Amino acid sequence: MRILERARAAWDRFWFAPETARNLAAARIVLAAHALWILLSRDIPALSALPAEFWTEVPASARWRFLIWEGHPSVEAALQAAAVIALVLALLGVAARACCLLAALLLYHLAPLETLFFTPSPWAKGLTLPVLGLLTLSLAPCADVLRVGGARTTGAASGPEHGWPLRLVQLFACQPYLFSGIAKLRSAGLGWASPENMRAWLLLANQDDQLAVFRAPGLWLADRPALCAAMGILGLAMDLAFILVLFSRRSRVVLIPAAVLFHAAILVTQNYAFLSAPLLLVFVDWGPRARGTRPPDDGPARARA
Amino acid sequence: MLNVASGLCFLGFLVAAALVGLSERGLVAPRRRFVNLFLGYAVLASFTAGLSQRDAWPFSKWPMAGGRAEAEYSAIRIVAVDEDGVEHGIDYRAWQPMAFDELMPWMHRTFPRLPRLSQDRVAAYLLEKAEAARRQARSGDGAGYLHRYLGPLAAPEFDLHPRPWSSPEAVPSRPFVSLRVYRETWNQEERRRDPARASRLLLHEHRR
Repeated sequence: MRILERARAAWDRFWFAPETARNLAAARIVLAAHALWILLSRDIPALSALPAEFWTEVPASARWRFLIWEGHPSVEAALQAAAVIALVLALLGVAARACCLLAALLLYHLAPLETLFFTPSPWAKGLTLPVLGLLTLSLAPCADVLRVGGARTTGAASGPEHGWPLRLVQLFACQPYLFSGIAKLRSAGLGWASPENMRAWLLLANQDDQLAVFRAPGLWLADRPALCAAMGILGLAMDLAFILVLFSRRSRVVLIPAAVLFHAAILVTQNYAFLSAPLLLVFVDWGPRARGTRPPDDGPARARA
Repeated sequence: MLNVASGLCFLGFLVAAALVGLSERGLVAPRRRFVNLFLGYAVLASFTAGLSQRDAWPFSKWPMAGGRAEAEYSAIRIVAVDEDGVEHGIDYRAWQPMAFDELMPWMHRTFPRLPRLSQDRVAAYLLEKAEAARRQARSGDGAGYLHRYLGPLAAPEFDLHPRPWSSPEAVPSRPFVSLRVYRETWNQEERRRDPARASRLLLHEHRR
């Protein structure tokens, strides 16, 4: 019983620690801007007009799951236009919650359209976290500040209602790291980080001239076993340790810049662009905190203790 | 089956979210209970996908660079052939709005299973796109069009790709008249020693 009570108290301390309205509003802006960046860099509706042969192996269950039926590019264009308008309004903070909800639902439909002829999971295409994040923000006062119109406030207003949604968005943003670490351990164990496997990944990422833009850095690294070992250990450690940013503000000082470097290094040595990297901005503290709302160095877990 | 389960999983997320919305209006109470339900559902769904490594997008398993990289590598290469019979590589932007990162795996997995007639239709479509992109890039308008709003700030694909048709002089001058689809294979270590080391198998050829 006591264990359950303690677990419940820990749950409450973690999720319902106060957070500034400014940080929650900043998360809204970051997610909306990121989704706009992806949408405006693609032409997802045009994929609805691919020749019928591309759709032959798409199962009916996948079509129903996302309500996608090919051959309707103009309908998809209208839905995308609605998504863009909703995202712009969400970004500006105009009818923000309704717009976050509408945008999330439309992105849930549009994002898989980009990849459905091959896979129903567009996880690498940059819209995964906006779907989850915008839906979460639609449930919270995410436009109390940093919005067009409305009364000006100091940005220091805070409370649990600003805390739990931001924390959930941040948890979603941690999961790519944690789960990719778990994927590595489940499929290859600690041997994933071996210099041999790192070399193999570097060769794979740099020897196909259709994929590689930066070839010299990765191939240089591949020929140095000690650096390959360091790369494997640091990469796995980064994946598994990143979730600490949820519990420790001190760790953010190290892990957020480390994550930026991590993505830059992967880009240059392996030619992979992690499109969700800009969402690391949801961990930034964007403004002044009212007295008593700053969680201590070990994070929200002790904020209300 | 996974599609159905994943769809239901997202539907559950929406229902949990709707209950939070209703609790805010006082239609169900207490609010904290429904917020907890929503948070618990989000944690459970996302961690189930991640820990089990079964994707339920948008609850993704995020399998980046998982596993051991294989020593043997296989890739699809699509080339166009001009009127003089010369083969040319094709800038990845020619396939837009399709992403190279989906098109090539699809060509690898699904294209060989299609009936010959369907393969011809796909190849004709791709040849038309390649030739249209060639003409556009040759005229100085650049390859592809997905940078139309954001220019150089447009989001890249997950895999970076070289842009051989970035200047008109680098674009083939003769019209494309046929398309060849090859499967290339090589051993990574052998290719590291000899970059030309790769074998090619012609999967399909389509002439206009």
